[in-house]
Amino acid sequence: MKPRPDFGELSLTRPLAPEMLAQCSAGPARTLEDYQQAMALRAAVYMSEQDCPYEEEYDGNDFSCTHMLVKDGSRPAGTCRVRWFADFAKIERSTIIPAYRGTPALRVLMAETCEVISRKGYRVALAQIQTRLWPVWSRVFRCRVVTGRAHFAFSDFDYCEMEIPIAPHPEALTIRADPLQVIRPEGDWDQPGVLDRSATRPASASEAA
Amino acid sequence: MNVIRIDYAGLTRRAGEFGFRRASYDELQSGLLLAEHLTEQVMATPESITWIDGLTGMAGWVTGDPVDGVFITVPLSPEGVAAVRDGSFAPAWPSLSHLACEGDECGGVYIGVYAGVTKEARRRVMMAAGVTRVEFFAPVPCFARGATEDGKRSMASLGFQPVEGGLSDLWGQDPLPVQKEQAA
Repeated sequence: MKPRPDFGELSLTRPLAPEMLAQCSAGPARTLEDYQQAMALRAAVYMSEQDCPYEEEYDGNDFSCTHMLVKDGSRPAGTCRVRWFADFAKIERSTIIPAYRGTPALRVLMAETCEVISRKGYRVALAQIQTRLWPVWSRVFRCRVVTGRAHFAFSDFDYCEMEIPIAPHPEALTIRADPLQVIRPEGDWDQPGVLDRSATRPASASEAA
Repeated sequence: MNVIRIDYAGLTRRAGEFGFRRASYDELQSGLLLAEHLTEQVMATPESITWIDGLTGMAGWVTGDPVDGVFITVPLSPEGVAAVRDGSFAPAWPSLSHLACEGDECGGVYIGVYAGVTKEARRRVMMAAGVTRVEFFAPVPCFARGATEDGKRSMASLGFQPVEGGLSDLWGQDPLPVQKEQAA
């Protein structure tokens, strides 16, 4: 059973109720299928609902980030992507399709996203939010608007910057983490992966060289 | 409302003189388990205290190895002090705006937990709590909840009084007189 995001949920305004995690599950996109689902969700919300031009929505950063996906059973309900910088993670393209707004999908997605960010050792996440949506986001995250910075606009909306403190994870992955743990699938660092299993085969360096 | 700038290095040094150190996550787990056992009250989770500690730079303290005493103290923003007084402060899951994050102005202190297993550990807890209160937080009010009769007696001995209208079982202590040389 997937462990609950005990550290990621600390970035939310209130803890996740057990039934929320029973209804929805979220994690990093690991397959082409997951990736396509994330892109489809964003097309539905940003291109259709918000009339965002295709080239602005798919801006050249989708192959350099971690996509997160929240599902209700097998049905994709929402997504976001995280880009990684030196000392902060940036949460972008947060999307919940209309049928899942007002459900636990958003909170589960964000808790799991912050769990991954926390486990990677980051202490703060940044999000550029549409200024009109601050009342919504401030009810989701324990966060603050970054002060002393000018608001800015792109893709026809006014934006401001929101800073989300991330809980320090006691098992954050460091440069001295177990080498096999580091190469496990993103977000699934506590389960032996396919490469752990491969390690039972005898090494044959001379043949591989 | 009075506000102060916290001397984090001085606080750590002084707490250390009573055997206290900033707690790791594992130490917080042990300390809170110990406090739950001693007070028969449900405590905030160690994850939550870790979050608060990471932001405020001073929330989780333990003594002993293995841990035999724990002291959780939350620096409050002026908004946080108002929230404690009106009952909207959530000790186990506080709003970000209620905390005095590291480097921010501090308007008060909320003592979440103080517990020790042995008489010696309890003495260290009370000494550390009392001395740091006087030396580092005198100009601002201090709050705690009287979870047990023993705890209420301890607070009364330190000059705390019940506060009406806020969190249940809330006790408080007004700012303490500050000597001129301290205030300068």
